[in-house]
Amino acid sequence: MTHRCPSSTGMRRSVLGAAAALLFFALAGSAFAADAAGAVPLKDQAAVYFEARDHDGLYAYLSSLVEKGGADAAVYFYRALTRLEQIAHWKKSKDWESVYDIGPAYQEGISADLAKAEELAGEDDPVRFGIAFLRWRAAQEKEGADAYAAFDDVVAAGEKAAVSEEGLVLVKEKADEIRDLEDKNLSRRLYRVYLDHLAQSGMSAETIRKAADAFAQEGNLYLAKTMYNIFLERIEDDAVRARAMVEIAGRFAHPGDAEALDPVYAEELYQKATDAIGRQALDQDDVYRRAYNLERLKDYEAAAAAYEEWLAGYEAAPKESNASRRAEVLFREGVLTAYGLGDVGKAKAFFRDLITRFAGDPLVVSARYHLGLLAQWEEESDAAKEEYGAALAKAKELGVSEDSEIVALTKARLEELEEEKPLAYGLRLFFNGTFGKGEEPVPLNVDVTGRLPASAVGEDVRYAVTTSNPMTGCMTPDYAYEWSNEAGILKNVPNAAELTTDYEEPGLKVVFVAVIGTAGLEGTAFEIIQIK
Amino acid sequence: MAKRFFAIAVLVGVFVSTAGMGRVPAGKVHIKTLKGRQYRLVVDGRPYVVKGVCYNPVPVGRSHDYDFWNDPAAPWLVDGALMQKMGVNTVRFYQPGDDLEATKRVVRILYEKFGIRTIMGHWLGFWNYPAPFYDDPAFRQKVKEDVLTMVKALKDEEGILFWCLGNENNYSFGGKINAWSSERIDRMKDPRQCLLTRAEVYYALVNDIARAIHEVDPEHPVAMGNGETVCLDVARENTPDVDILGVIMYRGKTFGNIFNSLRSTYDKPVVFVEFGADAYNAHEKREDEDMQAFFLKSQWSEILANVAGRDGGAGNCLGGVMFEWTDEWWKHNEWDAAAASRHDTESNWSNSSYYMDIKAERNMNMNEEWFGIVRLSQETESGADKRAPRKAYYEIRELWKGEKE
Repeated sequence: MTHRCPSSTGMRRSVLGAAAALLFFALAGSAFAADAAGAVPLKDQAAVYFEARDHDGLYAYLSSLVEKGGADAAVYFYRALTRLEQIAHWKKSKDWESVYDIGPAYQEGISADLAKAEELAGEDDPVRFGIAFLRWRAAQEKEGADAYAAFDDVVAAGEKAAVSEEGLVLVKEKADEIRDLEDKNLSRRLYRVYLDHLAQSGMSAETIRKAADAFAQEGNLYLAKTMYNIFLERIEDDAVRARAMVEIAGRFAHPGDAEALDPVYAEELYQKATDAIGRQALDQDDVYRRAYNLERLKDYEAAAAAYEEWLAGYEAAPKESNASRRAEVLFREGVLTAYGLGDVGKAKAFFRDLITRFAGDPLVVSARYHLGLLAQWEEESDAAKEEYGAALAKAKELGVSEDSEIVALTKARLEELEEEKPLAYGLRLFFNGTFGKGEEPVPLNVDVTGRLPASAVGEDVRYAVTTSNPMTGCMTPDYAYEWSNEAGILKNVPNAAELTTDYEEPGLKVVFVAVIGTAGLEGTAFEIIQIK
Repeated sequence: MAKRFFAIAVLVGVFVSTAGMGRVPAGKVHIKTLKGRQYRLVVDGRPYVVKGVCYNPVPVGRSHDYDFWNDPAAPWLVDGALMQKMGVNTVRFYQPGDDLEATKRVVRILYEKFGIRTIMGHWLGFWNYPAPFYDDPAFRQKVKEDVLTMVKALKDEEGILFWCLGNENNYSFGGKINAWSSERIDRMKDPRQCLLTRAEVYYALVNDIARAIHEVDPEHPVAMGNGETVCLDVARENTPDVDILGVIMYRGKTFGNIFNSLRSTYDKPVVFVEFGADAYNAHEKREDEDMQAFFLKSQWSEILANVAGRDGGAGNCLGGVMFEWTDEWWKHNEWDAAAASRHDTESNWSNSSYYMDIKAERNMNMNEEWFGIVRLSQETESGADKRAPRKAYYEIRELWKGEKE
């Protein structure tokens, strides 16, 4: 059980709760094993008191042992731990009066007891690591500036303790406990001790990799990434290392149907791999994964380039199994190039390529629709009508439902053209902002992210808009959010920064949003979601 | 001859001690310029470091329109005692109540019973509906008269420390919030020109009012409540009669280089009339007293390090007024009456300087209803909402202990 609080030195710390404190008992060694009478081990007795949160009772008992004479390091260690736990308990229960009125005197007692414990402990006794750790904790509790220095002592004691297998495990346990600190460097310094000793232990590269896999599995990404890096350093052959990098990158990249572990680390590895041995480091699947990862990172330029690389790879060695992915990639390229990069001519070429090559793919309907939209925006009514008409004809041909969203949107656009009405308000705002009309386009200072980016029919998709923060203090500008295009089943789309919806048909959906403030259009953004 | 030298020396001394500042009153509360252009607030002849809290005791279930000045529960009695115990010497009110006699009574009680002085503010019509038309002569005149009515009514109260004009009104210059304009501004095509014109218009009004206050009340300085350092370059040219920069600043752990940078932008004594941290972790979705205490302690440490006479500091800071004394449950949605009885946890704004919970959804991490260093509950005690000081209360109390006035 841990709870967190910051200190004046800028870090957040994990304060051991009673249960976690018992980990110290495992530290054992003879000094911790039994009380002076050699009867019930002290750790077991202490556990009972901690369980009942009877800190005063335990303290009195330990003090009685001191008074009897001959108390060993463990007795003083536990006495310090008891008071530390008591202060931590007050903090947890928000008994601030006790923390600030009684706490300072207890802190003095903790210092004295730890000094005595240190005096009595053997030179190589792992309890010294425990003492250093408690001393650091005490400094943290006091929120004093000496906490950093105290942590140096923890690391030094950890170095010594890590020599033994038992001590090495303990170092990792402590690092795990303080992992959630605001200042992650603290846990990382202990992890470093752990990893250094591990690396020196003659552990095979494969074992290190398996350990890294396990850390990734348990969500300790820092440890996982560091161990993967150690693993990669052990590989001498460039080509083998590059392949390993790409494989590991695949684990961290955006998978689509779940949150990515660390997409930035993934891209870093992809880049290193290609820097090392060139494009051959990535096969077609890897190129796609990388492109998709970049798309999710909103690096549209790099994503478009990577998708293009995938298309070139397909041209060079077409595979039947990749044919439908080719249609998808062409569509993504069209959308990214048009709305992300503003290159309408190139975007149209992608959409047309898709239409020509994949006449039977439902994405043709969407591609035609986007060609129509772009033409409508460019005030080329005839071209737009033609594309919309072709979209509807294709939808009919492919058996796409008359009630489907894409058909409804296409009909709405056609109606606008036939009745000489302007483009729907939300779309018009999006296009105004994205491409500009007589004015410079609005910079893309708005971000929209849909979760999950690969969802199923009927499953909730939640879009959230993040805007840059103008200097307005606590007074947030009132923004209007105009969602448009494929907003799913919602009939009344809320004018809010968040939109939760779902879709009735599978396919790639493109959602637009325009953000408007009192001074006008603030920005636009778009998102591509895949519904399976 | 000797007499002439003495007279010149006195004149030079007066000039040096007031150079670069407004018409500093040599009254009971005044600013003294020290060696090295350090500034000190002097009250009744003694140095005074502002250790303050913003005080807006709106009870649970009530909203911003509640007349707390006439609250029968008299929350200032319990609050005053708690503040005194903590070491608070100043409260800041944003605006007096419509009932100036009731306002006077509260100011007097806080001072006489608890030794707590008051910074009395005025919104300068910022929340006027439909907009604060600062470029309209009639609106300006109305605002000025309103402020002077306040000053005349309260200036003789022993508890008054200084006046504070406006609160983040400068954020309206960009047109994103509380947008206001005029025909001549509307005609301007360049957004930058619009912004600068609004700034000049507003700061000229502030200065006009500051000058009028000095004529009516030479005993108390006048501060200007400015959001961050936005448009202080314009203010420098337009507010010679303002004595103190009251800055509203939410920068998380550190105010950065503000103390030194003000030397070149707006070289006047500075009081942080609003700063602080909320006690709700929007990422972990729980109350987080540690987080609030951490930021406040860090902020106060910087403020105290930069008051006059401290080694290594800029010496231009007169103190601070943290935001705020109690939580205010009405703030998340002031238009929903039921929401005033609910302690909302939905964030209203985002500020990445408060990095501990910035990973909240859409980075919305600032919880306006949770800034109190004292928690309110729906239980009542002596007719008022029960108060429970948060960790920050004790943390700052300890920090202030032993601080020299």
